[in-house]
Amino acid sequence: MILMKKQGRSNRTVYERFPAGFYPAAVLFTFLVFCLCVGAGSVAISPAHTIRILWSALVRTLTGSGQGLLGAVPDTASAIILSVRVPRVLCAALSGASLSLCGAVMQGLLKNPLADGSTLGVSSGASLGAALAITLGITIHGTLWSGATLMAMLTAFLSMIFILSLAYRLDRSLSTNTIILLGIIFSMFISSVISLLIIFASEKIRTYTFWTLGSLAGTNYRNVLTLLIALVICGAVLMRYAAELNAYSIGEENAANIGVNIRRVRLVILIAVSSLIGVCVSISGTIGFVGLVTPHIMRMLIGPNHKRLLPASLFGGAVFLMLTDLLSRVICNPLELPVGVITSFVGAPVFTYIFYRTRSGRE
Amino acid sequence: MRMSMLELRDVSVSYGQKKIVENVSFSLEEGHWLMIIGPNGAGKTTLVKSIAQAVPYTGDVLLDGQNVRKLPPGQRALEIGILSQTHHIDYGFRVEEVVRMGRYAHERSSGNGLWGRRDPGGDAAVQRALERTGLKELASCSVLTLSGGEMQRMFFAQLLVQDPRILILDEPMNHLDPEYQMQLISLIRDWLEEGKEQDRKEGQIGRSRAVVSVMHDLTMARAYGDEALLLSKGHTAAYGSVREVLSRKTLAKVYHTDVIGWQKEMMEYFE
Repeated sequence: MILMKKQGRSNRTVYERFPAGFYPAAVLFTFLVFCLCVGAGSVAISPAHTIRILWSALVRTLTGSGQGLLGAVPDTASAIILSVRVPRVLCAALSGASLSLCGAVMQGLLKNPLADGSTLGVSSGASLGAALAITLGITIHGTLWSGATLMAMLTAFLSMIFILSLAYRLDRSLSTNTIILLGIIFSMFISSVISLLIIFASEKIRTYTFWTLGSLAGTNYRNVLTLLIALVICGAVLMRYAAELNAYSIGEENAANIGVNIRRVRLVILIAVSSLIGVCVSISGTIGFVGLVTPHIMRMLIGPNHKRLLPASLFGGAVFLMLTDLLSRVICNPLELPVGVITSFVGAPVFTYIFYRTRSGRE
Repeated sequence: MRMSMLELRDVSVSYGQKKIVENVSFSLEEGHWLMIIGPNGAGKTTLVKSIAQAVPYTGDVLLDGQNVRKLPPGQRALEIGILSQTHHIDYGFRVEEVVRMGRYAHERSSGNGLWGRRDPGGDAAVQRALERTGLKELASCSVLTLSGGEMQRMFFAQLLVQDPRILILDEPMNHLDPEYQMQLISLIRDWLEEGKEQDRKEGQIGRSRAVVSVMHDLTMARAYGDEALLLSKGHTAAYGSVREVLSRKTLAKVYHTDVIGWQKEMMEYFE
């Protein structure tokens, strides 16, 4: 499991050189998981057949023959793969990568290994925005994003600002306990507000319930494009701040001393993170703990340096959510579980474990 | 004619209603070491933090006559650097990585473009700082395994790599055993000397150096400081050359005991 560490003399943890083959291996592994997830499901399609279908679709799209990706599908297997599974698995990969990246960033920024969209209450904030947009029928014309997406991004940002400023007022050091406690209280409050909304708009109750649990069912290529654009823009911004995040994770005071413009960098990072979480939530609901579990595993594998941790978390998150989504599809076949149920099932014990370790590590 | 390099004019700091530091002024010449001394809770740490722009203050901090408050963070880091009193790290970075973070302002200084991380002197500076602080062997160790003294030396190495013109040291001898205390003292004195030599060679005033440090050990302050500032309840109780400030009478008044007499008595055990 541990790739970079070995116990040196005098019982110190010593790091080995970062293996050059890590990224190629990560890309290959992610691709293999992608093929597995596209092939497996209630209708099983062999890996070889899956890759053949994907390849011919790719060739058709690139050469422009036929009617593109979705036109003229030769058989049922192709239809299932191209119009249902590929967009769904791509959405899973992109959401997973985004949520995991956001988790890694927040954990560095707040110097808090338990920070994550779901524990900070940002995901709840985003879901309130999306819920409001749906019940009140808010639409914003002239943009690529739907009303729900924009509202989710906005409320995600506002709730992040709200929670962090409250935490700052209570305790300047932004300690783990304060933030997590506030995040949980905030989430509970938001969920009661959403429950109210559901009661007053009962005709949409099923959509809501499913959506707040987090689900990737019914996602399409439009969602894939939305996620991809959000991830490329916000991801580029966040990756650019890897050095600053390293400084924050040593401590804000030290970051200021070495010359980081701590206020401005923090604001830009918070905007990028909440936008990305907002987009994810508006498409797949609140999928908890992805941003907690994968960065933690990656940190154990390759160390806390964000220059490597952020890209590694992208791959890790993509793989984690593709696999959990696959589980949610097949575990109770033909019944489908919301993927959020699975991630929370895995995530809650991991959260407890990290919390235990951070608590017992001190003093 | 030497001009004063660092000057504080009526610096005051308050947290809420409570005034921690009130109207402190001093001026420090290049190549000099100012010792800030005083009883617990006198406001020493707060005062040095205000010089490093780490706490909001009123009054002015001037560097070569220029107001430090107006410098952008990156540029300020190239002028003034602070070694804090306490360190707490949660993530297992490598010692070398933390030391290299001191180069941040150099990597981001002009001419490096949007993605610029080029820093030609970086590697050499990091290696040199690790060597000078005796951390070479620990370079690839996780910081979570360091002792208090090693951690202190690591952050001092980070400060050396940052290469500011003014070192602010908040109780730099914290956690260090006598061997490393001596080493640190000579490191700081060498660092000051280097600055003077550079001055003579290049004939410019731009890169001259000075040190401000909070010291609890009065013997050390007397032995190695040029000037001293004695703080008491946020006010300047005495300020001047170490010889004037660290007199038996002045100290006895502020510390409410005959500190020098006591230290002399202790030294007698070694006779």
